[in-house]
Amino acid sequence: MNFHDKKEIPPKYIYLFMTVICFILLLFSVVFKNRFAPLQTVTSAIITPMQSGINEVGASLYNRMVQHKDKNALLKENQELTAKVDEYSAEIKKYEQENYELKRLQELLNLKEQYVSYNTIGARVIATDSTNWFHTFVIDKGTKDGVQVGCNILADGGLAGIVTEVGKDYAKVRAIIDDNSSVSATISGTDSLCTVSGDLTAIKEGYINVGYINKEVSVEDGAELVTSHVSNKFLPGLLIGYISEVQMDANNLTQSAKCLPVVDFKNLQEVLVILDLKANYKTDSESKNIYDSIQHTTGEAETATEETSTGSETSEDISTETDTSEESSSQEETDEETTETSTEATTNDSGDEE
Amino acid sequence: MKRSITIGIIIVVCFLLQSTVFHFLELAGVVPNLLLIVTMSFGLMRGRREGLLVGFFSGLLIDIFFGSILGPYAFIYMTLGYGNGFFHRIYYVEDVLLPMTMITLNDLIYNVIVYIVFFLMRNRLDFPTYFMDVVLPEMIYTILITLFFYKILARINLRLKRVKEAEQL
Repeated sequence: MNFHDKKEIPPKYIYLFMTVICFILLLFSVVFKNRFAPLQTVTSAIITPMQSGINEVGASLYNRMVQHKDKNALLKENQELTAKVDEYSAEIKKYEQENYELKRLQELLNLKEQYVSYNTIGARVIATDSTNWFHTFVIDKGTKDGVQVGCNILADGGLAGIVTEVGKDYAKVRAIIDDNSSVSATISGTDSLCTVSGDLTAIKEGYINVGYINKEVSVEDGAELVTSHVSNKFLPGLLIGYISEVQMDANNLTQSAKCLPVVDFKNLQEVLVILDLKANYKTDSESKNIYDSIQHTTGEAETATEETSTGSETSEDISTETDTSEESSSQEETDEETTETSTEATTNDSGDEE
Repeated sequence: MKRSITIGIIIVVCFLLQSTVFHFLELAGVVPNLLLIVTMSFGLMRGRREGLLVGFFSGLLIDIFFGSILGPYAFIYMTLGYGNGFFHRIYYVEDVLLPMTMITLNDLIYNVIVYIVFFLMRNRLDFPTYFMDVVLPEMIYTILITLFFYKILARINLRLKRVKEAEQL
């Protein structure tokens, strides 16, 4: 190991040799995707506990620093928050009513429950990408706790990222603001699909890019952006953020916009992992996923109306319209649910800390 | 042997700091590149051989944890460590200007390579924006950290050298 001894091989050859090793590693990790898992497991077994330890110390120091806000600011915040709680409880009442109505209508339409509650698990962010070019982070839950590649990650009630690699007690997550990330989404309240892609220069200003919105769709600023049902990796109806600055693209075929993510990626400390995968995603109906079930039921409804009143196209139109409106309202509901569960989880965590 | 263990510990500690604590101390959304400082310092203080080995293992650690494939960062860091080794000839302990110049150059080259490999290849052509948003802040922050971090490394290196000499005597 005495590698600075002058009698040994000249550095030129070592450099060439190591370069070859680098390229072999590169080639192998491209060709055999998961062959290097043991290497990664061993190093993470050593590094991960240290990371989580150091991170805990750093986080507690940072939190203590943040806690030293002055009293007035806290009082003001408290006032604002109480106002918000009132606002929200009124909103919840409204949603409850709507939920009741939805159930009634679903019974009428014989539509099964569309959104099942997901199995989730709380996790801590223990390390963040050490380069300044990408946004990936490592969490302290792995296969031991049932986390798999492709699990969706929530934080602050919104979508934060997706698991790209998993070890025994750690998982690597690519954030939705990462330059390589792109998520298929829908604008809540409309049927139009769009693509949300992270952009390094955009996130420096605090937003992510939304592209490929149909030019026919008129989008208002502040519209909710949720994951779409056609994505094969992201579960449907997860809140991503709020739209602003909608523009027509230069090609005059699509629109693009900016999206303010709901997740605060700067201070990501606790996240929620959804253990259910989109690949296994099923509603309790016979259909494979929501998209099928919607099509299925609308198809049924259409045939039913056709049977009862032959040739009355107007009633058909009405039935499909009610379908879509229900879909959007129920999407909003699940958003509410996820925010609720996540806030619960975070309060639990803080309770544990204390 | 003692030397390799010490350097190994230094690399791991720097990696840990860079991936955890320094994220709470972000300035302009960037963290300083501690591993590059280590690579640069050992390349300069000890020559090409040690520079390239330190660089290789630093880069490999980043590859394992944050890369999707193994190799690219290991290669970039190794090349930089090897390149710094050429300046070992004009290095002397008290000089501060040389490491400062070297870290500026290193960080610039490193970031440009990363940009070319991971961004230009995906048709992200807006280099000036990336330069202002990522490269420049990181360079400045890294230079600032180098000011005192380099001194610590130099001291460790001196200590190791003395221990080695004492053993030989």
